[in-house]
Amino acid sequence: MRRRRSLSGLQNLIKPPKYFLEVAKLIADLYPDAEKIVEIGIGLAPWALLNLKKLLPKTTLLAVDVDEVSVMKLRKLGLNVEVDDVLNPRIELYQKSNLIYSIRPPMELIDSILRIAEKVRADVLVFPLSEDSYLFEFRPPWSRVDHPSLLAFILKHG
Amino acid sequence: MTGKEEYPLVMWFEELKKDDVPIVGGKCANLGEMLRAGIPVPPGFAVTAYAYKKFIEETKIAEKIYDILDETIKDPKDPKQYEEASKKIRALIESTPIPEYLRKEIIENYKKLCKKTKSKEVFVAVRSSATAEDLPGASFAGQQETFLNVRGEEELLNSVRKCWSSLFTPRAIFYRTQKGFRHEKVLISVAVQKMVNSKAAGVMFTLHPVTGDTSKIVIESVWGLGEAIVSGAVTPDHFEVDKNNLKILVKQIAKKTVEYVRDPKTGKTVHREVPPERQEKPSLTDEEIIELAKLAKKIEEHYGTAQDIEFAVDRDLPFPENIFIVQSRPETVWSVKKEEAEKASAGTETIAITEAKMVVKGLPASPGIYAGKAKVVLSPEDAAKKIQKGDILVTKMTNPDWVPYMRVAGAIVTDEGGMTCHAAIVSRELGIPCIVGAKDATKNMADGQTYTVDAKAGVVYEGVVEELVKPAEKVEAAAAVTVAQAPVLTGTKIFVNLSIPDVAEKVAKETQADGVGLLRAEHLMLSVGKHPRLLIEEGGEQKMIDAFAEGIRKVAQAFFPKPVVYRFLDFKPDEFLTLPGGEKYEKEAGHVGPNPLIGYRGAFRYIKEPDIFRLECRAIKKVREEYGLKNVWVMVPFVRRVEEFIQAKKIMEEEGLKQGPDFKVWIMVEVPSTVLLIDKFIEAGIDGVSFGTNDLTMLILGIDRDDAAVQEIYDERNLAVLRAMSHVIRICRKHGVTTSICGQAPSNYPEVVEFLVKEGATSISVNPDKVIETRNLVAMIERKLMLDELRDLRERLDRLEKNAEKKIFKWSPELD
Repeated sequence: MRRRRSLSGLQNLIKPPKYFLEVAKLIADLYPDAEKIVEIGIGLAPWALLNLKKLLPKTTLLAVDVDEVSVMKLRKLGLNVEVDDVLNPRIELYQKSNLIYSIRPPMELIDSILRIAEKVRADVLVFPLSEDSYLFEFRPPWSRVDHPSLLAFILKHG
Repeated sequence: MTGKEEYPLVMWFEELKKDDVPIVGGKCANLGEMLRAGIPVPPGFAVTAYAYKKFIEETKIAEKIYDILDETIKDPKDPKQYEEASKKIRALIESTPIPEYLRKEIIENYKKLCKKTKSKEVFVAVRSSATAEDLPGASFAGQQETFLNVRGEEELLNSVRKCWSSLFTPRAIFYRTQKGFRHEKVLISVAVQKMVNSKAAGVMFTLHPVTGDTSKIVIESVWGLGEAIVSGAVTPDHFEVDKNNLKILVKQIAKKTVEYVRDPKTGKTVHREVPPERQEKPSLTDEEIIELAKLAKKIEEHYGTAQDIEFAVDRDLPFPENIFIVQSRPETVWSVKKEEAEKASAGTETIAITEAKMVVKGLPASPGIYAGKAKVVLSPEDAAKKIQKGDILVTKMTNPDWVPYMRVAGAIVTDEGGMTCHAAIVSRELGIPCIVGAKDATKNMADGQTYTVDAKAGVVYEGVVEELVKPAEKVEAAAAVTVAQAPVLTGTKIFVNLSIPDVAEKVAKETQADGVGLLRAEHLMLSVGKHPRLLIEEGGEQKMIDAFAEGIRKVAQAFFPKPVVYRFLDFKPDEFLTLPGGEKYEKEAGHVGPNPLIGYRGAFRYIKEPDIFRLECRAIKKVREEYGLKNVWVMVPFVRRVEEFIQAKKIMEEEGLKQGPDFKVWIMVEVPSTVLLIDKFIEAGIDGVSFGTNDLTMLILGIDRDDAAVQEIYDERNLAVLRAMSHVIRICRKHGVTTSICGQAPSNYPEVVEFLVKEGATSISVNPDKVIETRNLVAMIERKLMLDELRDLRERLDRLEKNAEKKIFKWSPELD
């Protein structure tokens, strides 16, 4: 049934902005041996996960999003994506993750992402909008990731 | 439980805890968890999901099931295809013999239960417990089947197999498809539990299921078994209890004409008339109501989240041993509140409410207003033939078989049922206006006729009632259901910052903020998913307008009539760069400079690329005019020069956004030039300002916000920043211009809040998690200020009195 669906409307998902390639590269560098990595709030931006698939072929990769339409679309790209609302998460989706990451998460969701990561003892890596960097900058246990072009903060639980 | 691990085939409730969902499903795991927490639960055991897995694998029917699904459901929107697939799969499961060792295991444990309950052949309830059931955000309530008053080994085994097959009812297949659960990942366990010989039974919510009020426990009960409530056959008694002091606040006793009970002769569940003398008597005593409320509170405390609880009161046992909890699951409506879908039918003749003819009246079970064509349908088969998207579904009562048709309905009206009946629960979850217990709806409403369903008041009118369906009133309807828990009063308004519309309703209800001081546009742009220039190139302007309008509408509606200040898109060029099209329209266009924070952004960008700015203006106009949400104001960010503001304002006016009493235009004060030229900006016509302390601090102190090397000297409390804010507040106050703050400083530093209140800022806008704390802090500061003022006044009066006494002393005639 899945194969029969039209792939129209996905063309714009194919050309990846460089930013996401850098995000994937950074994650792969930081977690080369991860067993499981989860992206929260993938939306219609699958490029980081698509590239992680290439960079970390042995790692179980999962993305979640609250929007069912986005999830259905991204599943057509062969990605492992689940519908989940991080405000009321299905915690089993995140079990055994080494890393949970989120690209430009809304500030309203940060606490929920942290709670999930704490429960499953996973590290959290956030790539915020510059306007939200105050939520992480000089806020231990968050620390800024040393990267020439990416604004990223990490919190380690593992 | 997907690997080759071995698990038990049967587990007793006392062995279970809530983490055992993958092996025994949500229902059984919760029963075990409650038992451990000291909640009275009837004894029983779970036939595990592993047992089901073994059954479908060893009998080799698993592959056949998934082939049927793939071959039959080709159009996910066609309910008939779900029915066809379901029929084939269920027949397959129910005709396949259970492996011998599994039969033996189930029968041996049933015998143990008989022994434990001192019964030769105990009556049991056999209930499905799917492994993805009843999780927060996924109400699978009632999708799988339950068999009551089951007795004897063969009947038990047949019921277990029927529960297994009920994993593939049309509605269960439909729900899994809708919620994105994969069919192959969902297994099913079965609870086998001693039947309570119910005198009365019902449902409890640890919050008000319609308003979301968490200070109340709502209990609905009927005579006999609780199935009469869920099926909607009986309008239940309704009780509301204060969660804090456990006082009964509301008692509404309904006339309960029928009850489901166990026939003492056959042991089967029967439907019978309630004797007239009992029909209007309360089904619960006061002490039972209070005991139930205590248990509800305990369960909620144990799980840490609002619960939807089923209970039964045994007719053979004394109080309080007669009270049993038979199920508890997370409440799924207010935890995942969806937007009410309220679309008025276009092109239909409208009438005024004063002339509108009321057709039926009932209980408003799911708020909202809808106008459309009615379809009176008495069975799911009937619905399959007649119901089309947007119809008003009119029936006696729904059950889970109706869900595919409820999903496409614009509104639902039922003859029977109370606030916790199936139609009420599902329509609230789906966000569809619903009236239940309307008695004669199926008689008085005609097929194909147009009606207006006012599910705020519980009334159905003939035709389209214009005043009701127009958006302004719809907003009022939604606003009316928000919780009225009076916040602490403050002179300084406490606003909230928001970046995603989906949380607006929850934030509005929980924080009771005075409005939205900063509605950010950036996540709206991210959800559109493309650079706006690329969208324009592809002819997608309307897509952007509609997406922005929809997001803004959600927020404006949630907070109506409180103001919502929408800040125009303020991506920095490097952030635009990350969107598809960014390379071409940002980098190649030369927009990405060495320091994006002070680069091509804010007001300057709007006047350089007005076609993009106009799309945002049109979205605002749409929300204000088409939806009637006049509480939306705007804010221009990163303004550097007065001319930029004037030009941006001109574009807004050209797009029909004219300043007036209900449309205010603010600017962000985050560039020092706006501080120094505040009087000129006031002359140019700003209605308000909001301090963006992050950028303001960066620019006053000359610190790059994105440069880690200089972050240690970044401090919003620096005297230079405070002086800048003080200057702006004083000038604005003089001219009656509103002053606010939406930067992070008030959230981080209480002393900044005190400073702003003392200086006379009119509002403070903080992140959702800080609203209540900030309000309390502001209230304390304001009281302190008033007290200081009073003391100062007292001292001045004392001084005046002393001076006066001296004068009196001097001039006293007795001294002459």
